[in-house]
Amino acid sequence: MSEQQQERTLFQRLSESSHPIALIFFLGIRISSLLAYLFGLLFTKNFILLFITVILLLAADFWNVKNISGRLLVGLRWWNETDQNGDSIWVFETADPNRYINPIDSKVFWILLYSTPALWIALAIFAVLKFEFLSLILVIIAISLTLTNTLAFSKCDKFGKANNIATDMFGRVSGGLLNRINPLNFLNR
Amino acid sequence: MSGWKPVSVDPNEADDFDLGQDLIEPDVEPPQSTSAKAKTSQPTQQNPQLASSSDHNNNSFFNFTSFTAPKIDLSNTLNPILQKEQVKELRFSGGDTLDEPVWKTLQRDIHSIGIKLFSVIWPASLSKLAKVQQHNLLIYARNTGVNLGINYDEVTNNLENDISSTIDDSDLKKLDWDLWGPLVFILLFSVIVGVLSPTTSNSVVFSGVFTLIWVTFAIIAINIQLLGGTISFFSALSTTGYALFPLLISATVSIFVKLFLVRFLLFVVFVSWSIYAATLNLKVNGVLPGRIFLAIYPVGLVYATLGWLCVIT
Repeated sequence: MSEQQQERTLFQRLSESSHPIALIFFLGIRISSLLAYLFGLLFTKNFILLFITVILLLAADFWNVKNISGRLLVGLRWWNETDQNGDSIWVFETADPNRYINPIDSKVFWILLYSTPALWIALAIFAVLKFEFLSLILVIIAISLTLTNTLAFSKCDKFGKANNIATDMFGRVSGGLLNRINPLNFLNR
Repeated sequence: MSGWKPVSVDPNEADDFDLGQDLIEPDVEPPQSTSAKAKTSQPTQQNPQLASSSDHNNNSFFNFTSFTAPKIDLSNTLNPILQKEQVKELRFSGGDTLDEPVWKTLQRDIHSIGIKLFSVIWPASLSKLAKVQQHNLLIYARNTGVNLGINYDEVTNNLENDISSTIDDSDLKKLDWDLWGPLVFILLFSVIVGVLSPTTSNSVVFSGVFTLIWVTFAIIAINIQLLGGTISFFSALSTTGYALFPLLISATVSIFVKLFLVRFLLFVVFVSWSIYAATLNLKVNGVLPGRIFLAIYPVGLVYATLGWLCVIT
């Protein structure tokens, strides 16, 4: 009963999004590339087909996040352009600060943006441990594509979200650690 | 137990005591060094905080609250990577494409891919643009003092009459790089070679060919970039990848045609087509005039190898 309640509120929360279609596509493509890699071999014995599917999903995800999700969900965009002398310029664009950024959109975007490369890196470690070097090729491509987007959007955001997360995590870890070794705590016990 | 020995602790090496010393005697340092510290306050941000907190609660042995929530700043993480690149930070100010419909974004990218594909299928359409670009590059090389083995005095008269006005900037903008073409072509090529391979382990052949072609193209792109001019790494990768298209046709045909002579004729025609397309595209994208051959030679070798792979399988 309570689980159902939870699920419904999650669905309700997601439906509060300003760009529901963009959010669904963002979630769908991001997660489906991971699922296809993890469970694809249960449905097909053809590794080549799976490889191509995952690569195309990853490429679609890269394009979608870079060109669509980023600017619709959080109002950020990055690209590379060439000037007249042929020098490449990396451009990082932020939205007008008065623009309303939906908190649900922003939360989902940033959580997935940072968690996906982390998950792929974990899968890379598993692939190395299991000596699955054909899969490792896929995972390396996945890491490079997702990590590029993560770093570029962090740069757009001037590392605001990244700093919050890192500060929070470091604070929690070091806080717990220091509380444990704090001699005063020990004495007070 | 018997092996236990008392260890003499050097107070300067024990971290705990070291910290305590600093807190107790903050005035040990000469005054000019503190002013120098203030200038480079970024890395030593922790020190004033520690000093001020020790003023407030001198009673406590250690002040742990200053450790539990340090501010972390990652904003300079990418600077080493972007050191040599130009970076522009924009704030959207209306009238741009940040709010454009999705369909428009998709259309623009498909259009750009189509134009690049057309420039490979019909390379002659680029010949005028290539001529103008090479002219501009010669001026660029003379102004920056690049030694191309050309006596600039002899060609100065030709350089004076400016022909760059005959093209507009949008022609070049259309040829901005993307990696969709290389990705799809290399995937298809690996599939064809993988499926054609007689062994039972065609998934290994497929993955191997796929990775090998990407690595080869990356090396080629590095070579082209190092030759100078105004071409970038990704632009070179995109150009050489798109020019793979004719080879893909010959690979597709060789699935159905088993006759060696026909395959060999196809090989000659399509490899020369690929090399011609790559040459003109590289000229447009900014390889210096005297170095076209140096840039195209390894590209041609790779195309010939890939083409030959289709002939013999």
